[in-house]
Amino acid sequence: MGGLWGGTLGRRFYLALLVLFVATLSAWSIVVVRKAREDFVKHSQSVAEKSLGELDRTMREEAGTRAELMEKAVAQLADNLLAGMEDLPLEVFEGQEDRLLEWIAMRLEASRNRTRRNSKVIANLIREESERRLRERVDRLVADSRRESDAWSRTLLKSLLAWSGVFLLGVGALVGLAFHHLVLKPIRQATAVVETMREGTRGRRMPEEGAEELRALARSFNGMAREIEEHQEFLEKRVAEKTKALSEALDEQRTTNVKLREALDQLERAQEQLVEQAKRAALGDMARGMAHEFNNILGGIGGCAEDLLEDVEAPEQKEVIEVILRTARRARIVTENLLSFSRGAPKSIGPTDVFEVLKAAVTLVAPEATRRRIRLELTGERGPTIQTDARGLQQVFLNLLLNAVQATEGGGEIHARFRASESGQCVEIEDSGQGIAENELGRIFESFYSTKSDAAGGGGTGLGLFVSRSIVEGLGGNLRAHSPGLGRGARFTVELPLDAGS
Amino acid sequence: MRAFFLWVLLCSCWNLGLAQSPPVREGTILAFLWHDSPNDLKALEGFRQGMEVLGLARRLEVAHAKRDPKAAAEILTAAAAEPVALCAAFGTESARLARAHMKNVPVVFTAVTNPVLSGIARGWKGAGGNVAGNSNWLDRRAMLKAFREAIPEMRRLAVIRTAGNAVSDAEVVEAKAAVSGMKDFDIVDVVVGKSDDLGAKLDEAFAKADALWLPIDFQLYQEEPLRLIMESARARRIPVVSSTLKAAGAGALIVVTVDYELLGLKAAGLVKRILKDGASPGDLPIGRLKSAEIYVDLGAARLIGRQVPLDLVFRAHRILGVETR
Repeated sequence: MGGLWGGTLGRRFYLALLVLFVATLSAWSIVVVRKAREDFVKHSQSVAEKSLGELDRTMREEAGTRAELMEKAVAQLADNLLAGMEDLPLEVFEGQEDRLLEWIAMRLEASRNRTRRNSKVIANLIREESERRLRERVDRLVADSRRESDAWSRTLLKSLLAWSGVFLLGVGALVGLAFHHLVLKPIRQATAVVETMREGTRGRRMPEEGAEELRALARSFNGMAREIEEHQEFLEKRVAEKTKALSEALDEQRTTNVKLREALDQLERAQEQLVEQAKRAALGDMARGMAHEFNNILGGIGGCAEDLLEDVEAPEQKEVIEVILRTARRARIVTENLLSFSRGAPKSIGPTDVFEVLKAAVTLVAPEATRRRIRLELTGERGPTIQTDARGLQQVFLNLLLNAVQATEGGGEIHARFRASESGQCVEIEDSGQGIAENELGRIFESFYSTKSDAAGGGGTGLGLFVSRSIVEGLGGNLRAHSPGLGRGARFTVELPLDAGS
Repeated sequence: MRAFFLWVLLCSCWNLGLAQSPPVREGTILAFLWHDSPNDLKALEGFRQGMEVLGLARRLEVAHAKRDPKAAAEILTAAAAEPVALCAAFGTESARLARAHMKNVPVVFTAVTNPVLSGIARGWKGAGGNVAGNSNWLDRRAMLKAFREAIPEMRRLAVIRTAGNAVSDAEVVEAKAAVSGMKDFDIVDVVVGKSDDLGAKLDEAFAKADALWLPIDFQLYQEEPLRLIMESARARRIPVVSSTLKAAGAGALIVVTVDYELLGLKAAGLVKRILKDGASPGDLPIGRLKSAEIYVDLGAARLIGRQVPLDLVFRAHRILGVETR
């Protein structure tokens, strides 16, 4: 058997197929043909029994029918004879009974001959009729049998097809098994070996067994696997060396990068400072020029207003002129401050009540707020005085309040809050105005950057918040802005240390 | 049709030449025939047998008028003058002539279809005067029933007859009366006048009905017209039924008739009652047979692709158109 099953894969496979075919054919022949033969015998017996039964029944029925008909015919012939006797002319034969009997005998003879002939005809007719009916019954029987046989043939054919299908499926399954055992299984084994090699496991080899083709395949594969493993070891060694060198170069590069980042940051800060200095220098030049010019103008306005104050006597007019004079003086102070800012003038640091400074700024802005139907509210309590620049702070508060008034067009609310703590003091100016877009929040403190439109009072110079933050930062504090978004108001927070000089 | 009337004319001429006038003398019993109808001849046969039984055969003299009115008148006038002991008239026309010429001689008629309708008898209970006789009367309802049994699908039956024929007149009158009570069945009367074409009349009958009835009509059951009727019907596969013996075996599917021989024998009984028993002829009831005879022609049926129901064949007295061994 070993010799029979040995050899090439193809020979094994075809041998398996041949065995399967012979086995299947034998099984098919035994089961299906035997079943068909049994069915055929059974069917034939059934048809024969049925046909014979039907024929027997038909014959009996026909015999009965023929007997009935013959009986009927005989009775009718007798009736005819009797009916003729009813009309017997007895009056003619009165007193001549012999002649009557002769006449009757003659009539009966004639009638007998006629009846005999009629009987033959009727018998023939009955026979023909019976034969015709029999023929019809037999034809029907034959047709029924043929129909039944056809139906049986179809059933048998279906059965044969079904059985053949079952056998074919069986053959298919066996071929599949053979294919699996002879071809798929070795291939799967080889695949498993390849898979384990791919995962990194070394030393696995295909079993060199089975058909010649598979043994040759296994030998080749195992040789190739050995070469691959050797090559792989060489490559791994090289990779480790290279990796180490790369790692060292990478660390060096990282150090260089850190240094470069620091240098870049310093450069950026220097650039910003340069820009800021340039801006301040430009602003200082412009502010100096403007302050000089405004001082001259305000000097003129102040002089004229003093002359008018001396000339007018009406208290209302005097009050108005005094307001003009106060305002002009304040304006001169502002321009001087601006001038001093531009010159980098020293701050006048001293004990300052920040709440009072805030309150004074609120008082100044209140008429304008009222005119614009804005509710301006100051909250908080007076805190301890701190060392700071009161003038600079007043300028800052006025800037913030006026910005809030201008931003709250068409009515709204402005809250000025003061808080004092141990570490410092804080002032918040919050309005319900047009708010600040998120992308503008980072730029509003830049010089010459303004969010005010021309319609909001001739537009902004872009210096208010810049100057304010410069002042606050110059006093050691900070100025921050916050807005939930456009149309939702804004809040500016000024945080001051307790001692600006420190 | 022209040939038919020519044939009738020739027959008449032949009859004129061959009309028989027997030597009548006192005591003679004269058997008078207007024509050679098969029914009448059968009745004469029966009558002869009766005369034989009664011992009067030697006194019997037979006279044929051969459808010649003049010859008939001569025969009957001579017989009345002798006078003969009795005149036996066979058939309707014979009876009518005998009654007209014989006033003082007893007249016994036989094979008269309806003597009352024909004016020969006063009534069925007694013919009146010097006349007695019997009739070949048939129960028309039974006859039509037999016809319908032979042709179950028949709804309209055409009867073809010549105008002025007393026998067929009487048959049709009786049949129409019988039909009046039947459902889905009617009789179409097709009368052939002297100038009418028989073929055209047959076409008319075939167009109107499912079957054709040939009644007792001397002119139509002659050979030539009978052949024409049967061939035309066969060509159209129309079944023919009849009440005359001449149609039996000539192509009719069924013929319903009476036993004329027996009828003639019964007429001899009337002769005995009058001549031997001294009965008054006019008071004797008109005799009728209780039974009818049915002839069935299976050959004719086969020719037109029909079958006669077995029940009817059983009832048939004579079955025609089949060979028997």
